[in-house]
Amino acid sequence: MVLTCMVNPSEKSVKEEQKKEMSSTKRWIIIIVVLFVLAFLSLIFAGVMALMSTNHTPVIGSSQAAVIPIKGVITTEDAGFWDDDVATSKDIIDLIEDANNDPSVVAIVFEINSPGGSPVASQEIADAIKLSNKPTVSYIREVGASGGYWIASATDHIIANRMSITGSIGVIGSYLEFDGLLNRYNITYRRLVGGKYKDIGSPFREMTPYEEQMLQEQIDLLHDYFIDEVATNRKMDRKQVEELATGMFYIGEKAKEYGLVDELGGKPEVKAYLENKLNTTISFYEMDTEKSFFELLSASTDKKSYMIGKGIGDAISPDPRASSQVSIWT
Amino acid sequence: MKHLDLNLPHERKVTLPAPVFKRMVAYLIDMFILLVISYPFQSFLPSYDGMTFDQILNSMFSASSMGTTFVMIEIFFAILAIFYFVVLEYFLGQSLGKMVMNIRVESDLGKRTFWQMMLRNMYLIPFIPFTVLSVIDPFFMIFRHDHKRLSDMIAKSNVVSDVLVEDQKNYI
Repeated sequence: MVLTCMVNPSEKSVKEEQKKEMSSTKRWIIIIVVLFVLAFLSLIFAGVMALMSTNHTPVIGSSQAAVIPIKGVITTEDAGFWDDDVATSKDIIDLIEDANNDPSVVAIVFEINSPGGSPVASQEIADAIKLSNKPTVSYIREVGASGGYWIASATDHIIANRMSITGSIGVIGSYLEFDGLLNRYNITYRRLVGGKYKDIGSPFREMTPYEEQMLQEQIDLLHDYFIDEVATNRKMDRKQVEELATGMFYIGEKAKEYGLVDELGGKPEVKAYLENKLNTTISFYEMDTEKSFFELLSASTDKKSYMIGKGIGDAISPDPRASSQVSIWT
Repeated sequence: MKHLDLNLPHERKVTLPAPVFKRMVAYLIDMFILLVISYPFQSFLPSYDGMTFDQILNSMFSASSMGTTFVMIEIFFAILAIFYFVVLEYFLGQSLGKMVMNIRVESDLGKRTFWQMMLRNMYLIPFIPFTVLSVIDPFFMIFRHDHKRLSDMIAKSNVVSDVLVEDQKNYI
């Protein structure tokens, strides 16, 4: 307990006390400044929240077409904070549902730039597209192959760039087998399984011909599903699709020739098609999955970190092969 | 007989730890002020009408859009609150709520320092382990004789008020 008693304060010490105490005016200035700064920060934060919001405002006078990007490998599960180059089926289906439920949206456009991925995820997205109650258009930019094409085939109309890579109607399950390497270095794979095919596909032992036959049957079955889906979605003869389904990719122009895509072009052609079909002016708005705070943080830092590291690496040791690399990019 | 003017003070005051109820009322006033200031970004919070308790909890702790909004607002509010308390307590020794309740922050070491004010308000940081302080501090404040929170003990500070000597015997 602090006990202070003032007994016989002299005039001088009273004045000193008064000097020490902050003047009332100064106190109020500090309070007002603090409140102003807080209000300003609050408005800044509100601005940040508004920027992060994905709710769109319909443009008066035109109908909206929601553009859903399908970029990267198609998968059923998110790879976590460190990988934002995947298209997860759950996220895409959520966006499709949002677009379906939005009365201001009259059509859904899928901007596809994907080499494919999980057949399960591809079918989930394709099924969601087929259940949509609005016209759907897919627009293939650079790559719309395998699972990416599976999704595109489910839409009402496919537009592809004439140089895009599409098709690749096939299934792949290849892997590296290290059996020979292990034998060379006298490393033994100790096989302990319950169920004789439990370790089928293990890279540490040679696959038997029967196992290879079994796996091939599974892959052929998936391939058949893929062919059936494309034939149904594109209303093509199954035999015709089967002939095209060698796993080969087709440049956009060839894909149109074979009936795999409907039109060559880009976003202007998408706009023209929808405006002609729906007899209204169309404006696009991009939909995207909302990221959590940490995903936003990692997405903004991992690429920066990569570029900083790359820059430092290049500065220390520039790649002499860079100038002679062959690339298919123009 | 000559009248002798001894020039004694009209009243005598002692400085004692501020009563718990005054601190709590001051805190409520400060929180109200902060809620008003933070309204622009708090308005982005979704409405929880019609949601069950489980649904509200799930939305707060999920990575969904509502979870993101909630986390962002929590962090922004903490930044505002820390700025408010630290700056006002450092420069003036009291926040607006404390001013209304006529209590103030004093340092056990003499002069208040900025880091002392930061330490005593670190319970506002919305991450573990700091959030643990916000649970523990009230117990320390209520049950200690000097009403110091754990944060006050770490920062070597306390909230005090001046009491008239005549009132001291009735002082809690």
